[in-house]
Formats: sequence, C-alpha cells, structure tokens
Amino acid sequence: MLDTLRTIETPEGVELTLRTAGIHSRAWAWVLDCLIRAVGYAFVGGFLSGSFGQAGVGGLFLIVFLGEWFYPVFFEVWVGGATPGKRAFGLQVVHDDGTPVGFGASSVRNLVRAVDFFPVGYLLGLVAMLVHADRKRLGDIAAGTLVVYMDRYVSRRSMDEVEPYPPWTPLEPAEQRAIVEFAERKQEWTAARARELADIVEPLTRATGKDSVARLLGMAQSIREGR
Amino acid sequence: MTRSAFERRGEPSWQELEVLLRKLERIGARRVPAGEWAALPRLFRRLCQDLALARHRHYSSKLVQRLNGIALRAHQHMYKVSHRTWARFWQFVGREFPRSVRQERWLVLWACLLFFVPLLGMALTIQERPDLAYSVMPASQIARLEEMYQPGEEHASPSRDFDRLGDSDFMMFGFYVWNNIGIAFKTYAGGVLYGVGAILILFFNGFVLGAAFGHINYIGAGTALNSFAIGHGAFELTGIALAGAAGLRLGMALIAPGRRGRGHAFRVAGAQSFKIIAGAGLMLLVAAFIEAYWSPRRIPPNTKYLVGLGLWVVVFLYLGLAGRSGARRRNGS
Repeated sequence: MLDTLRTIETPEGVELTLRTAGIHSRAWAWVLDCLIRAVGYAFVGGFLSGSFGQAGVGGLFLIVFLGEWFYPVFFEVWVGGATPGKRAFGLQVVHDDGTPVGFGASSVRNLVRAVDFFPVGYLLGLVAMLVHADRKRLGDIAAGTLVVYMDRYVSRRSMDEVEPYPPWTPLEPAEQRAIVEFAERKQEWTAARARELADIVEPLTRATGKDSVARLLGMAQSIREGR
Repeated sequence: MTRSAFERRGEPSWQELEVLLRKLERIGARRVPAGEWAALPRLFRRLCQDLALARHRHYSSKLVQRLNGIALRAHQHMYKVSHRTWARFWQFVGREFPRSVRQERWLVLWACLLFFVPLLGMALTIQERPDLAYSVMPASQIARLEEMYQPGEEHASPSRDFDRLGDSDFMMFGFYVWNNIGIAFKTYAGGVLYGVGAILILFFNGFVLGAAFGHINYIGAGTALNSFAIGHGAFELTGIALAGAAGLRLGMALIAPGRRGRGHAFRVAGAQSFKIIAGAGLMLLVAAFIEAYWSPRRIPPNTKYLVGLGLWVVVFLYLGLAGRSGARRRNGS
C-alpha cells in the first residue's frame, strides 16, 4: 500500500505504527538547524577570536568541526532523539525497530551525511529519499534509522454527546468505524464539507444536508454505546 | 463490551502511564525514583493489550492512534540502551577498535595499498622526473611548500620566522582536527558509493602527499620535512588509511553482500565500520595533538626520527596486539 506508515512489532507482540517523516518537514528542520549553528558560530567565533587571539581561532576550528559533524549526534542521542530543528517540526530519529537512536547509529547517519549532500544541496540524499519506501537518505539506510513524526496526542474528548440514533440496518465493522470516525473528525471540517460527506450516505441516513449529519452523529453515538 | 465501557475501564491505567512518561521525558530516567519506574512494564503491557484489542475490534482510529502514540513513547523507555559512556569508551579503545581492524585486515590491507602505493610511488618517481610535481600540484602550492621547508635547514621554517607562541600551536591543533578528521569522515562516507568515493580520496591524497614529499626531498630540504612529519605520520597516515578501510567495508557490503540481503548487509556494515572510523578519528585526534605540539619543536632531527620510529612501532603493536588476551579467554571458556 502506498502510504507513509511503517509497522514494527514489539516483544509484547503488539504492532506499533510509525509515521515516517517526509522530505518537506525534514528539509525545513535542516534549514532551522543550519541557522541555529550559524548564529552559534558567529557568536562564539566573535567572542573567542576577540578575547583569545590565535588560540581563539583554534577554538573556533574545533567548534566548527564539532558543530558540522556532531551537533546532530549530540541532540539525537542525549536530548530526546531530535535536534532543535527536528523538534520544532515534531520529528524524531529512531532505530528501525522504534527504539531511541544510539551513539553508533546516530554517528553513522551523520557521517554519511557528507555523501547525501553530494554533489550539491543533498541531491543524492533526495534521490534516495524519493526512491526508498521509508524515505531514508543514504545515512539512514547505513545506520538503520528512521525519521518519524512523534505524535503528541492533544484532544481526547472530541465527540459531542448526542441522542443515539440506532441504524435501521446492521452495519459491517468497517462501516461502523467509518461512521464513528466521521463523528470524531467532524470538527476538523467546515459545516458544508460535513454535509457534503453526509449526503454521500443518503441511502443509509434517508436524509440530506443537516439532517443527514445529525443522524450520522446519532448513529456514531449508538455504535459507541453498543446499542 | 462497548467501546465506551472499554475506554472507561482502560482510562485510569492509560493516564497513569502518560503521567509517568511525561515525568521520564521531562526530568530524565535517572532522576525518577525507582519505585515509580517499576510500574512501567506493567502499565506498558496493559496498554499493548488494549491497543491490540482496540485494533481488532475496529474501534475508531482516534482511539487507536492515541493508544499507539502512548505505546510508542513507552516502547522507547522500555527498550532504551543505557549509555555508560566512559566505561564503553575505554573498552572500545583497549579492545574493540584494534579487534575490528584485525577482523577487517584484508580491507585494511587494500586501503593501505591504495594510499601508500601512490604515495611512495610518486615520491620515488619524482626523484627521476622532478617536473611531475608540477603536473600534480599547482605551482603556487609548491612555492608555499618550498618556503616552509628550505634546503639545508633542519626545521620547518615557520618556526624561524616568528616566535611560535603556545597560542598558535593551539590554532594549528584546531585546524588539524577540523581538516584531517574531516577528510577521514568524508573518505568513510565516500565508501557508500560502492567504495568509489573512498578509493578516489585515498588515491588522490596519497598522490598529492607523495608529490609533496618527493619534491621537497628532491630539492634537498628532506630533513626539515621528514623529521617534522615522521612523528604524527604514525597516527595520521594510518588513521587516513583506516578511514578508507571503513569506507570500503560499507562499499563491499553493497558489492558483495554475501549470504545476507543487500539492505541487511549494508546495515551490518554500518555498525561494524563505525568501530573502525571512530578509532581512525581518535587516532587522527592524537595525530593533530602531536603535529601541533611536538612536530614543530626545534629538537635535533635525529631525536625526532627516533621518537617518530618509536611511535610507528607503538601504532603497529597497538593495532596488532591490543585486546588479544581477552579474545583468547573468551574462546577458551
């Protein structure tokens, strides 16, 4: 199936679903990280060369070296699996099995970055990400890592309590689920869009427009309560 | 059971897990009391069970997503590898690195050939055909080299032009780390391209270095350069060759994956080659230190040759012997 989900099986025997991150958000995270580093270099560089002369220049060399190669490693391993840029876009680096990335794998993916960047502007990495089902760049393939979206669940009670309206005919599990999801996601759409969707199942609701929406919500409530 | 009953029953334990996770994420696992920790496996197993049920019963994707999200976070804490960084570091330096080098001795041999053959070949050829140096390096670079290493001098010349302060030593240290280790990392990364990148960088660097050595020795300034380079060369040249070997390890996994699938072989190579490139990086760090603080000292060349030779012996003994006894013990038991 063509989607961005990847399933891992845990030792507990349950399957967890990871959503692999796309090129767009990863690119923006990278831009943000570059900006952060550039500001850092300018700041530290000005201070070091200003107060320590030649030794300061040596210090700047060291800091640029660490920044270019190990800035991502530091954050990925010790600060919650994400550089500040990735964190801002809700991304996280994990091993292929969903466990937090370790020093070895993180280092490999960030050293191989040099080739992903080759010949210019992440061209090779981009090609790899377009071809690979899990959008891995070469570094991710070598290290066995994934960049995923870390879901932070926000709203829990998103369904309004309404009067149950039992459907007049038995429904398949998939149908039941579609109706419940319609009710749960209703707030994300405009009222017009909700009516448009509800009109599609007119044979089931035997109504159109607002009434159809109301009856669907009622059915969802009835399914939830198991009547 | 209806979905709402299912949620009512599970909710308290899900929330308990969420609270615990938030705590673990915010203040770090080490500062959470062990008593609270202990609840994690129980709550996690309960959640996994609920998640499987919710999926099986086709409960709405919102609920499944929520449980999946919590399970993912808990999974990360359940299967986290603890970083005992320093203990691991010494184990790596003392055993794992030299062992990995010996394990990949054929690739290391190839990398050495790819690096040292053009280096020595070029250096020797230039003694016969000195003009070759100009076809490998731009004239301006050769002029700079000639300025630094002058015929009849025992030491590199920058040290004569201005008093070398401790300051500028540290500057050079920073420069060597940034430049040399950077080259090593790129050589390694280049191995991903079926080994081609690593081979090209090794070969090219050997070629240019050989030309520089050949030319300076040809114009009769050999003592200044050779006595300067022999000490840190033990770590630096070996380190670059090992970085190339690590890159070749990656490339070989793609060319000849053996009995594994290509993707799997590549991942295994990633983990194994990392040990070699990490060690090579450490060797280059040592080299940068020697190059900045020992090599430019104004000490009689013969002393430098002696010490330099000693360092080469140390490197060979280290890579050849370190970590052997442990291996034997393990095999014996």
